Amino acid sequence: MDETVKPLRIPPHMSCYADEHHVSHLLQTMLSSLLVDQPEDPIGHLIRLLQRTSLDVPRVLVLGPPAVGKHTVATKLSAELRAVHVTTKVLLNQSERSTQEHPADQLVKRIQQRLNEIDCFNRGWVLEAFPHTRLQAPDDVLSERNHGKLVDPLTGDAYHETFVWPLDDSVAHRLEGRSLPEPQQKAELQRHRREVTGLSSAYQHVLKVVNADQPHADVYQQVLAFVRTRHYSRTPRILLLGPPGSGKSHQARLLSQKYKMVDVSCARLLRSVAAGGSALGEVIQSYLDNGRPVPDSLLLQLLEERLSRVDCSSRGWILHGFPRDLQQARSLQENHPPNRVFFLESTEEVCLERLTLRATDPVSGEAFHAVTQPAPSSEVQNRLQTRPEDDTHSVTHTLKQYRTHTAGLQCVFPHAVRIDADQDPHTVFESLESKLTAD
Amino acid sequence: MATQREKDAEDYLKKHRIPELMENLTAMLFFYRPALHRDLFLHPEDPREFLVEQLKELRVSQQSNMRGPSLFDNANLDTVFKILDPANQRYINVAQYKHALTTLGIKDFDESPEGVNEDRISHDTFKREATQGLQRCSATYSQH
Repeated sequence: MDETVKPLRIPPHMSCYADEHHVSHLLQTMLSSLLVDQPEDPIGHLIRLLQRTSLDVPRVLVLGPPAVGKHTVATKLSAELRAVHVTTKVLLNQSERSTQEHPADQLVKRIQQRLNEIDCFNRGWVLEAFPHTRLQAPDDVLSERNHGKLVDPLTGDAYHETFVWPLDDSVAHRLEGRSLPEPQQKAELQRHRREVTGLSSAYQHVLKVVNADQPHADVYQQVLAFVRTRHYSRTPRILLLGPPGSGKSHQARLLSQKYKMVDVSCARLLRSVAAGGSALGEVIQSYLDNGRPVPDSLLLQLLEERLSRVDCSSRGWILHGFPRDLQQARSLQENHPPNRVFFLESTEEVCLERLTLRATDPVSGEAFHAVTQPAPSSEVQNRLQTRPEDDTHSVTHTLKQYRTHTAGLQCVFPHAVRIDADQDPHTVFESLESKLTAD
Repeated sequence: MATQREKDAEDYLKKHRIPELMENLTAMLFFYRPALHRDLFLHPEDPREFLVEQLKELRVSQQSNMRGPSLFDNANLDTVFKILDPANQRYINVAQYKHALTTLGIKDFDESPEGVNEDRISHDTFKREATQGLQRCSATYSQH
C-alpha cells in the first residue's frame, strides 16, 4: 500500500479539541494516579477516577512552625473547598492515647489509610501539620501567638486572645488556655527549622511560601488563591504580533529555544522557499525581487503546508510576521487557530531606534546594534552593513502600515495579551512566559 | 540506576499493559472527539463519560474474553482487503499482507500463515489474523 508511506499529517482540529477539553491534563492525571496508587484493578480504578465530580480534587498540605495558624487556615480551607480536614491529633486519638511519642511510621500508616478512604478519594483532603503550603513568621510573633492561644474543648477549634476572637459568646466562655510551655515551643520551633529545607525541596514543584505575619484573613486569601490556580500543559500555538522592531523574532527565538517549539518566521519561510528553486519558489522570488508583497493565497498555502507538518503538530509552533491584516488573521483563525496571542506593544521611537541602528557583520554574520550591542572593534565597525529596509524612511512607512491594521487584528483576537515591549528583552521574555501556562 | 520504586512502577506498567491502554484510549478520544459540536452547548464531562464507556466495554471484554473496543471493525478490514485487491482475485501477496497488518497497528502476527509458500494469502486468512491481532491490541489488561 503506497498510501501509507506518505508523511503523517495530524489534523489540526485534533489539537484544538485537546486544548478545549484539557485532554493532556486528563490523560496525565489518569496515568499518574495509576502509577502512584498501583491498584490491582486498573480499569476499575480509572472508571472510579473518571466518575468523580471533579478530576482535580484538592490535596493540600499546610505546614509551618507551631502557633503559626495552620489549624485556622486548614479548617477554613477545607470548609471552602468541601474537602476532608485531616489532622494528626484526630487520627492519633482514634488509635491509641497511651504513649506520648508516637513512632513515625505508625502515624504515616494511619494517615495513608485515612487518605485512601472513599471520602478523601472523592472530595480531596487538607492535611495539617504533616508534610504544600509553607507558612513562615518571625520568632517573636510566634511566641506572642503561642501565649495567647486558647482552645475550645468541645470542637477543638483554635482561637487567640488578641488575634482571633470567637464570634459566639457562649464559645468564649468555654475556652481554656492551651498554650505550649516556653521550652517545648522552642524545641518544636527548632525541629521545624531543621525539617523545613528538606520539605521545601521535596515539594518544590507545588510549593507556595506564605508570610504568616499578616492578619489571618490575608493569609487565608493567599492560600486559597494559590490552591485554585490551575496550570494546564498544552501544545503551544503561539502568535506574536507587533510593529516591526518590537522584538518578535528575538522573543520567538528565545521561547522556541527554551520550550522546544518550532519557530516559524513568515519572512524566513518565504526566503527559504524562494531559495529552494521549485516553481513556487521562483514565483515568490520574483515578488521579493520587485519588493512587492506576496499575495495572500500563496502565503496561506505555504503556511498551511509548514504548520501541518509533524514537527509543528507535535512540538507546537510560534509564529511571527504573519498575519498583517484582518483578512489574513481570519484565514489563520480558520485553519490553525493559535491558543496564545501576544501583542508586543512598542512606541514608534523605540522601534525606530532598534531598527535603524542595527547592522550585521558580513564576515562573521553577527548582528550588532549601535546602542545595545556595539561592534567590538573599529575594524568590525567599518565593515558593518545595514539592510536597505532598515533606513528611517522605510521603517516609518512599515510602522504606519502596521498601525492601520492593528484594530482589525485586535478584533480577530479579542483574548490577546498585551505586553509592553519597550522594556529590555529579558523582562519581556519573563512576562511572556508567565502568561503561557495560566488558563 | 533506577531505584526500587521506579522498577516496581515499570513492572506494574508492563504487567497491566498500561502504555497500550493509554494509547488506545487516546486514539479513541481523538478519533471520536466526543462533544465537539461548535453549535451546541459543550459538556465538559463528555470526554470523561466517553472514556468511562470505553473502559466499561473493556472490562466486559476482559471478563467474557471477547474482543474489546477497537478503532477497526469488520467492515474496515473488508475495506482494507478490497484496497489491496482491486482486481477482486480474493488473494493478496505476502508483502501486502505484512504491510497491511503493520499499518493496522498489529504486532507479533503470524508471518507465515496458510498460503505463504504460494505467495497467496486468502481473504479469510487475512481477516482471521487481523481479528486476532486486534483482539490482542485491545486486551490491555493483565493476562492471568
